[in-house]
Amino acid sequence: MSTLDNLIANYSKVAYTSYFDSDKIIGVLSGTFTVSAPSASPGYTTNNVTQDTGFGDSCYFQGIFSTDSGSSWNDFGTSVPNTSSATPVLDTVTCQGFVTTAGIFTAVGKNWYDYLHSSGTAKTILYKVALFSKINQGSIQPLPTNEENYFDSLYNYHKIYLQDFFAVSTSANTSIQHNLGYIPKVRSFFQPTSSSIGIDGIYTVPAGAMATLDWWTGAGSGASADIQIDTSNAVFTPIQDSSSTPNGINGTQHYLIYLDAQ
Amino acid sequence: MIDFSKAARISIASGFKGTSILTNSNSISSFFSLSPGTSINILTGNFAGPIPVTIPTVNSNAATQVQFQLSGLESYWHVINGNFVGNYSSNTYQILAFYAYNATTLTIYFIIVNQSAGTVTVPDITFNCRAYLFIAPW
Repeated sequence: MSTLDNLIANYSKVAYTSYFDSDKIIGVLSGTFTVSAPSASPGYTTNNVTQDTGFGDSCYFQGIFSTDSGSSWNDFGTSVPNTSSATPVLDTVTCQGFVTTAGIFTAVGKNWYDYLHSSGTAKTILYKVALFSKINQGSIQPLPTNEENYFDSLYNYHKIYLQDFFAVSTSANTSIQHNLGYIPKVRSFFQPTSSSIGIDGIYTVPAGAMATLDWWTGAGSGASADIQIDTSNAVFTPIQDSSSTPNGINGTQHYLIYLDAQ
Repeated sequence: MIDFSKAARISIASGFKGTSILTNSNSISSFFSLSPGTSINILTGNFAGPIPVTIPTVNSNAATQVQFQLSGLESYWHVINGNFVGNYSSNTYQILAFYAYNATTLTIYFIIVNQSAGTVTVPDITFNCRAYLFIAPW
């Protein structure tokens, strides 16, 4: 097999290829803020910080946060259970985010009271966010970066196999066929048509803001958003609100299906 | 200004960094079997877990996605969008998933909660987990 043939046969192992789209990082943000100590009633506190991207538009993003000054990290939306006693405390502290249509990134911290141990302590949240261009991004000015080299052939870049968006207006699942023959990585974002409160009933995502699905997953009274993947399809369970209404929240759901490197 | 209405249609643009994969293979994985060969009973109002599944990592700040499969209950894989809550066996029990990571280990926690008025029997479940890692841009 010639070098070229070998390259074509193993396209998913090369650093990047013009045949497939890749993520485009258009900015990196970070910050720190404190969420005050919660009391037993109402059982939680919140705080938020905003940063103007200057885009004047929403975009995709991935965020992580730490409550121990960077020793350990969680993805946005997760709330790591406190397992220090025989009974785990499920809701502890989390950070979530969204980017508005005006390009304002907001990090939202939520700090829950620990009823099991009758305690509530203030939490300082350190967060980092990578902003990615969306499929229907308009004309924007990306944030400056100090990266000297953007692409390095040493690395294998994520390659996007399919990406698009669809309207969510019913409670029916939406199935996207990929037929890759394996379980791919699938990412999704949601833009509610009107302002939508998260499934925990605490904080509202503004109309049109780009948000990750963690806003609508969890142990609220409504059904969770979900992504089920098999070797042929990715099935998206529609966003549901926190009041168990039969229909989901209307909006636009974006998805990206990536090629595996192996 | 970058007109993404055009730039987004090309595969790469030298002005933007992509997300690169940290490991030579695409993902890393691990699994944990719940009481292999033995179903468990969970009393009314009680729960099982947290059941930790750990995956060694080689860098912090690097997980872009964690997926899991509840083999024995269903065949497809779920994405953990921050956390996961699923109802099973006609809503008699819930399975919850969370995760966190540090410089060396990604830990995924599963908790099974009895939501019925009586004891529920949870079948054998193998928790298959995998994570996609990337070189973080920060």
